[in-house]
Amino acid sequence: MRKTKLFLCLVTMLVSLLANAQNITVKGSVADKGTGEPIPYASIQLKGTLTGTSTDANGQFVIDVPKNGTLIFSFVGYQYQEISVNGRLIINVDLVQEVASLDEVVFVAFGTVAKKDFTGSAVALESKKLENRPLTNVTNALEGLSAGVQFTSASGQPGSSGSIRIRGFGSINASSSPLYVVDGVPYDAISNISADDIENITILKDAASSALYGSRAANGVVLVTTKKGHSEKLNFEVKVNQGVSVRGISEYDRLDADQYYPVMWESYRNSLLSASGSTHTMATASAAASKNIASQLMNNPYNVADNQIVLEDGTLNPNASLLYSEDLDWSKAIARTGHKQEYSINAGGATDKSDYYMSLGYLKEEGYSIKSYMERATARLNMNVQPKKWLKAGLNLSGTMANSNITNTESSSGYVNPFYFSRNMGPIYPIYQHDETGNYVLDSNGEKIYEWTNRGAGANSGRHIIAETLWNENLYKRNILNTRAYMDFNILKGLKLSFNAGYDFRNYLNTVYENPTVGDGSPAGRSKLTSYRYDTWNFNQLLTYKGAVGDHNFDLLIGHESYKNDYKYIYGIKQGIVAEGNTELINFTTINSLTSYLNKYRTEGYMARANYNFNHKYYLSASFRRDATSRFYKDSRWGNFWSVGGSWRMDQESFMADATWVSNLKLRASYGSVGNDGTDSWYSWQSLYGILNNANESGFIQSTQAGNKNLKWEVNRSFDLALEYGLFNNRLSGQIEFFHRISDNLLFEVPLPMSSGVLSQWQNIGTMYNQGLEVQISGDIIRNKNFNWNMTVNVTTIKNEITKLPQESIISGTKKYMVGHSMYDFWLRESAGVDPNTGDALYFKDVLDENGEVTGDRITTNDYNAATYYYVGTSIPDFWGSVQNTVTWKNFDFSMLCTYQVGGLVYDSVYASLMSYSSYGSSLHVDIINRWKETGDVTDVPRIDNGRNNYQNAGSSRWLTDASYLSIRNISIAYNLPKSLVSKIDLSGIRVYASAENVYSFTARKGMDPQYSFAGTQSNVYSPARIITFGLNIQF
Amino acid sequence: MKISLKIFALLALVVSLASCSEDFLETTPTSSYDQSFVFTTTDNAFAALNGMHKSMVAQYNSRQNLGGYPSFQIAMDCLGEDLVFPTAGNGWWTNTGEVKWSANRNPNGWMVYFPYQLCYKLISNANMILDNIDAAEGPDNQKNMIKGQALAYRGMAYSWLVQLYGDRYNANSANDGLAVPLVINTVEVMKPQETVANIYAQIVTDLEQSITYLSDPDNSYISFTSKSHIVASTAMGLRARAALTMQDWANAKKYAEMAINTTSATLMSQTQYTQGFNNADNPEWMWGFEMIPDQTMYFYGYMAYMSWNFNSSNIRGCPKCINSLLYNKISDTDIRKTLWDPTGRAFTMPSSSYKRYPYMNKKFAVEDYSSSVADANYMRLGEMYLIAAEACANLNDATGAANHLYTLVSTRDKSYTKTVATGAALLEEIYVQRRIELWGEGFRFLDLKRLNLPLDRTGANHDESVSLTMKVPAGDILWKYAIPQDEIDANDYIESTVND
Repeated sequence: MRKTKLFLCLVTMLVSLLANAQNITVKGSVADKGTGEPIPYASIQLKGTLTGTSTDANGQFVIDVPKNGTLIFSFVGYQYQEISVNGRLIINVDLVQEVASLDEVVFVAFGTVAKKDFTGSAVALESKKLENRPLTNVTNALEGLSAGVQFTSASGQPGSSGSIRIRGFGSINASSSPLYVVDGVPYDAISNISADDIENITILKDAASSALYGSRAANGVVLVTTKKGHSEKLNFEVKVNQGVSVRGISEYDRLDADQYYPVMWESYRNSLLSASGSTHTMATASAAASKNIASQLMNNPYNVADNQIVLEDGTLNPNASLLYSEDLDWSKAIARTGHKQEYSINAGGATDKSDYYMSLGYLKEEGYSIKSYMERATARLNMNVQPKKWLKAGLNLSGTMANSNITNTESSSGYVNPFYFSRNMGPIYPIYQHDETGNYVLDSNGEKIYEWTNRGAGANSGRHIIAETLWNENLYKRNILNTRAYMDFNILKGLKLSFNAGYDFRNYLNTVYENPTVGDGSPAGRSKLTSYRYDTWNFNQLLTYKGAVGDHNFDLLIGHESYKNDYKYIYGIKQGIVAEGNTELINFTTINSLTSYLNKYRTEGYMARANYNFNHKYYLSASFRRDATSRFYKDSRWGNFWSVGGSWRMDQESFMADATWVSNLKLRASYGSVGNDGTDSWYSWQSLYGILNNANESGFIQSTQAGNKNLKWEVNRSFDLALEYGLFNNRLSGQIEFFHRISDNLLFEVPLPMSSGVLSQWQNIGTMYNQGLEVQISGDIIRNKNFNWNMTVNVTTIKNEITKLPQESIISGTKKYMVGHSMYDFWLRESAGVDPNTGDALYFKDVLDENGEVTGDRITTNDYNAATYYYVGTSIPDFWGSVQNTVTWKNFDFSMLCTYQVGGLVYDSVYASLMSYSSYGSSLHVDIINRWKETGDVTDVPRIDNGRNNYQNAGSSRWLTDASYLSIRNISIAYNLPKSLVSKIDLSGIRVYASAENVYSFTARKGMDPQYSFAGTQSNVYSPARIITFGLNIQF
Repeated sequence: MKISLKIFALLALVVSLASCSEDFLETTPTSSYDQSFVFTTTDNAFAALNGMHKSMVAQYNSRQNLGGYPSFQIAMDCLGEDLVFPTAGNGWWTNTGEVKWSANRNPNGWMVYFPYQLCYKLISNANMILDNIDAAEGPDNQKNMIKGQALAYRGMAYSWLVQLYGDRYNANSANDGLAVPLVINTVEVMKPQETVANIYAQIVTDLEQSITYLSDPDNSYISFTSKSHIVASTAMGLRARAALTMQDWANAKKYAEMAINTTSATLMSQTQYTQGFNNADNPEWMWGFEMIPDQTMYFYGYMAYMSWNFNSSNIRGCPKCINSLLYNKISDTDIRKTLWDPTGRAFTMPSSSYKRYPYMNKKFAVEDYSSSVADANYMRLGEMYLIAAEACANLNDATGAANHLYTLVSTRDKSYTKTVATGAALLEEIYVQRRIELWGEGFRFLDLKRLNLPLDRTGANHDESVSLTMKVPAGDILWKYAIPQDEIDANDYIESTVND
């Protein structure tokens, strides 16, 4: 044995001596730069060869390498380093974690900038933060990330996301949504992109950072960048998620059947007493009510006769009991526990001449509303090559195929809207048919039969949401292709010419089938087919120059860009079903409608930008963009947008050198103008006649919107001033920022008098400003080797005010726009409570003098038509923000994100309709129990009276509710298996995690979603879902 | 140097690519045409007229009871006492305000918004035609025919507006109450309210000019196959209606008789009377709308509410009935008596899910109970006889009245004998025949208002919890629709207190 060993030793020595006569043995350690901890199983590779080794459990290594070789040190989660050996025998390497640091880059318009050199206002979300939050639509991860950004809630429909407002509300009638850019090209269907493919999402908040998107950046920019391969070591990851989706916001509290019948009886009795010309007394009206209430409600779910359900004193007959109490819960019937699953793999790597990234993903998320779901398959290939030093090219190709069944909530009071239907269904109507004894009526197959005839006028008689949802279809099939390609030529040192091209294609095919038995398709059966197709091309040519003269650094850009968007719409509908089970149009006999049209939108622009800094300490940047849009008449379509910005890195100054407790202190300011052309139609400047044929003769009809050749760009001028700080080695960091943003030449849809026949016209008229303060503080409360607790709080306050309008005031729904008020100030009748003598709802009314002038005094009136309107509050909150807690302990990560709002009002029209009783059969909120019943009652709920509903429940400040809320948006926990364990099975990492979205919200009224809209309105919609997911991530 | 050649070549490439063609940014929609195109030729202008015909029957505001002129007709009967809703049904027409008289004075409601919206749409389109057609290329007689139709629409729209939003016209008073803005060209489009008297003056001018244009045989440029086009006799009928409302009996008689003599329509047979009032081929129809299957109105259509057999939840749950007191006045030998069933059990319904109520109607029907497609009737010859009879009676020409009444009623009731009544009794008989004949066709509210009669639904088969309002005295504010809030907000000339 010893001889063999000795022999082998000699051979090895000889071989190594012969082969690598110049080799030396290098020893050393690899540690984490931040914590000092050794990194076991880190990889060390001799560059250009396959020779390599790894550190042991103590982070130590030994390797034989040539004296002048180069070693590459790497480990997952760290930036790799290349170290030349240079004959050293001991090399100790500290690897830096790939986490937030000032050396990171910020994604900006047409490129990236080092974070320390960035003079604008932006907040980024990196892919790492998305790891533990599996989301179908990644935009939802932006909520709470940055001060100054407001969100509405995402609906429960899988794949949906909320709306975003960056630094207030930029426009009244034109779009206030930010511009979404994906890999350099405007694109807004973010739900089509798999979250796994996202490298970074950056929100550009001020004019300076978004000015290069000038023409459409008035409301800020959300910049999405997809992944590419970047490390020498091939990364290969597999992810699996499983989860459930349930109703996130409970239903409003409503009366049950036993409470409901007596209340409806009272409403009927009171209406008999108050009807004009009525001769009833209390006694006769009560008798009539007891006799007839069941015929108004059209269903008797009790075991007593129709005229004995409610006694003449208004109480429920004590002998009455429900025949089928288990069959009355519609809210439960429209919901279920949805199952969510996701599987994906991605891989990426890089060499010195190329990098590549590929991913494949499949997701299926069932919503909690029955039948709704989204199923999505995505694939991506992103490859960049640099064959020569002066030539670089790349192609980023991705495809998505998605199918979904959508719950129809287009109309807040639509028969096919399950939330409207179930919420407003009186508690006395069964889902299935029953006989007189309460037993289910069964069909010839022994199945229960749906009941939809015996319902009151307010209970959607003749319709059945469960039957219709189950028997109808509302399917979307989506095919999406995104491509980005580019070529860069490095002509001279620092001078680069780039050509970038992007093509996005989206086709949504929607099939709607309506069954012949019940619903809109009854009795013939109908099928509709709609195709929406978007083709978008974007092409730009850029010339950039980066150079330095001594300590003066500059980079310049000039370029040209063109954008083309074609939208094609095809629609056909036929009725008269031939054979059940086939929803294709061929299976129907009569064409009801067949049409198509094509809309086009084009923009073109020239741009220039210059960034200058002195010694990375003083910065100055300026940009200019001249843009044209097809949405305006040729003489008015060009606009000029520009910006300037500067920053001063105070921490780099010599006088700050002693203040070692300051790691970062930057003062920055910017001012710029950006534009908005977001009218609702692409042809708003044109005076048009639509096509309206009279049977078989062709016809034209004047558009109800007048044209305007003078229509031009809406302009946002914003000023931004900020102080960014990082103290105690960035243990405490954050920023304070002030902004003032003026929207001028507001694109306004000015209402014209109805008597002109033309109802509106787009004009540039009006000015508004948004001004606010953003404060963000992030602190590592505990920062240890093994335990780290960081809390980040942000707070924003905003003021919005109109300073100029086309006419003295414009009333829009519950709001009135007037100079000196915000666009979200409520203009309503003011409720004056309830008259204790009559139970009538009272409203305030101005007292006028003989000349018709307001005296300042007010009286109350019970006639809602005579009530005066007043400003009664706003939906804009006093302040809002988020609190995020992140805790890491050894291999555990825990994070909790809460968002909150203080102040602001919501006009709860859903609650108002639940307190209204104009129709027998619709449900009522439990607050109706507090109603006025007899003279002397002091309460805030008026007397119920079916005939006087419009008077008792008119739109007024009575329905305004506090919009303050505290919401636990996300809680997630993750555990990374120890590296030692993981490398034993030849893997780089294993992570398990659990995440919950929309955990709970504290609001002023159960059932209300104060985050539904920025305007403080409510609607019957697919309310947000609570989603709990468990996941596993394996890195090879 | 080779490298600099490369640079220049590339830069040249950049410059040549770096700007798009001139018309890159010019885009036009495919679903609309520029205004100027519409008036380049008279053929295109004729298409603009067709657009007006179609807009009379179209879906408005995504609300099922706003389906154009037929919906207005239903509203006029809902407000009267002769049409009875046995239940609140599924809310349309009852909870929306018409039957209950609960939204006449609500400026924010759809009930006052919709007629205002539709009338001014027709007026604006008519003004566009009248202002621009002279410059179009095409024969003069086609231009005059188009002008004639446009003027008829304008006259009709203003008469509809002034009857709803103004006080009742009283031939013995000045009629200087304010009603609605009078917009008669495309230049002055924001105007203050005009007096009832002046609006009627304009109506008379417009309709008489329309009659002149359309009566000229030269101007019957095309012989129309579709009854949606307005011909001379239709304009005469509109003029007669206006005269009737103005208590201008001489002109009412003159134009009604002129319409009777000019029209090619003839009174329908008894069989045709029972065929459902859904086909424009009916010989008595003078003006209406012909609906083809791919222009169905679905649940917005007239028949979706008024027919006895279309399969909508509104009809299945609430068939429309006649006032029992009126029914009892119909002679037993009259074919019209068969259109209603006092027992509520006699008709055979398409399926068991249709409810039946006493006095339910069978007057209106669809051909295929799964489709609400049906032609719409705006004006028929029978009405002309009733106008002529009423006018004669008011002129103390009892014979003339009796003759006109006989011509009409004898076709409905073979046993009818010419009436010998005079004075108030004669008028009462004419009114009753008018109510029976024009039941459901959009006249009752307007008749009660012009005759200064109260609404009285008592003593009949009205369910007070459904109808709610059982009596409204004549002259009450409720007889005048409120001016819609949107108009008040956008029209500088109209004060916000106008509805107080």
